[in-house]
Amino acid sequence: MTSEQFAQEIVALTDTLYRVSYSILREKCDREDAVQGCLEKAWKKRRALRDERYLKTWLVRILINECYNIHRRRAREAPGELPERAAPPGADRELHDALMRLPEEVRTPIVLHYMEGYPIGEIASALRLAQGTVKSRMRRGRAMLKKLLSEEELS
Amino acid sequence: MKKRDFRTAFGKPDADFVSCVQNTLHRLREEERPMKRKLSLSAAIAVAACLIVATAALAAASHWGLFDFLNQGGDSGALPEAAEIVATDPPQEGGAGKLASFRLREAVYDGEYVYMVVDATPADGLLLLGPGLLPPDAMRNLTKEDYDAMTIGEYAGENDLQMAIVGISTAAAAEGAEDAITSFDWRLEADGTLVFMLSGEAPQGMGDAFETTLLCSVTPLVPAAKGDGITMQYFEEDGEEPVSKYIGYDVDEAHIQRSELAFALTAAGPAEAQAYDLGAAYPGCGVRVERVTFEPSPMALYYEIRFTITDEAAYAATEDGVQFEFLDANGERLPDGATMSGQTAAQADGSLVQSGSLSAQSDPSQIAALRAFNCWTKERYESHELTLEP
Repeated sequence: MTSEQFAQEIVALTDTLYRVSYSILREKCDREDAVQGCLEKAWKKRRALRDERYLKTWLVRILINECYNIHRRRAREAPGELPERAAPPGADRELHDALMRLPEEVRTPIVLHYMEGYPIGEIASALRLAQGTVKSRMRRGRAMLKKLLSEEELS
Repeated sequence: MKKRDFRTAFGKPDADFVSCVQNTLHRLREEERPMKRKLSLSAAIAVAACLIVATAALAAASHWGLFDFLNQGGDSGALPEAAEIVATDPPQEGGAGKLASFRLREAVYDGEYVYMVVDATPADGLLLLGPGLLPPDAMRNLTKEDYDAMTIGEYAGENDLQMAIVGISTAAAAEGAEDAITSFDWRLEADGTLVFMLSGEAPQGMGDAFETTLLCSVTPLVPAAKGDGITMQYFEEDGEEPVSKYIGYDVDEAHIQRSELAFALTAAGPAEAQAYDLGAAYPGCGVRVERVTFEPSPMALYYEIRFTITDEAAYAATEDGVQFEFLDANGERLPDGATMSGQTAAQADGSLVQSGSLSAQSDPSQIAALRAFNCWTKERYESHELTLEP
């Protein structure tokens, strides 16, 4: 894959990068720092990616690591209760608010599965969790969402 | 039951986020671009005059060679005697075709790595594009000259040339075997020849003879009706969503050229590998370096660092980012060689091997220490003094 192709593939994944970083980081500037750090690392290591089919999984894994690093730093800097996040323009406010009420460790697997279409195995690989752990977190998340959204089941 | 589209939960990326992605990629591409070679006005005029009067043979002689490619990002560190092991026009078969002919012009096989320069000479009226390039891409992607601001499509239109995309791979890779080509570069010469530089580690067991067949394809592009043909996706300036655009060209399936170019290279004086058992522990990143192997060549000083994981938790914390660097007596990192450095591969026995190269001007006796670091965070772990006794 040439540099140009690699850049084009990443541009096409902008929405995914946004949604994954939004799921973990509340501050706009942190999300931008995370994606910038992610792209710098991915660019440096891009030749190590032997199979282009795994570009998205690989990139998201790097982004999640970046987000967690920033998240940990923020938690040390400003521990305590944080105000709720307002839904951005164009978002499904009800769903946004419900997702934001989920604990982060439950929300991210739900986002990767329902928003990005990741199978359990890839989520486990991206989050470095056992598949069983991912499944139980998703079960927990679905139950909480169902309650929050007062719906019978999720699509 | 109300169905929900989860992708709408967080809305669309805001303009700042999109700009951040685009600007970061732009900066990374710019940082990587090779330094523009400075040319005075008089020298430029002289070069232009030479180009005008040059015969075809002279033009071919001025094509980029192996060391032009290797040194474009700085001195590759190859020894002067490396020039002596370059095979010029080695025996080869095939490569002919109606759209373009392919010829292996220069090659080096030093028993470890193979470096090949292949000329793709187009038929009259054809402009050859490197793999993955399309008419809207900048012409500088072909010529490597920063000032080439026009697109490839504009250049082809101005010069009344039909465009065709060239692809090169090895027959072994097509059959699913280990690919010998891991690095790919090209440059369009003034006479229309597209010169390729291909390099990579020779597959295990190649011994003193490197035999391969290159599969060369030439895919012509033809104008397509509006709304037909190849599409490309991109972001417009300040655009928040990717735009799909027809480029106005389609692939001319009926006229794709497929040629094979077969050749065999003999290893040029492979040197004995020098192996050193270390058993050096790096508890900071949870590994132990078992063995370091060097293989000197006039092209580079190739190395392999074999290490094992001794502390799963400490290693997992590095996010697979453990790498090693060789330091001299002053604590300075020894310069990298002609090949890509720092690639790590898992082995069947569970160990890991980092392979790469140092400048051929380096010598194992200059190495004073081996330091582990994290390629993601740049955190430095332990450093071990080395006594390299075979």
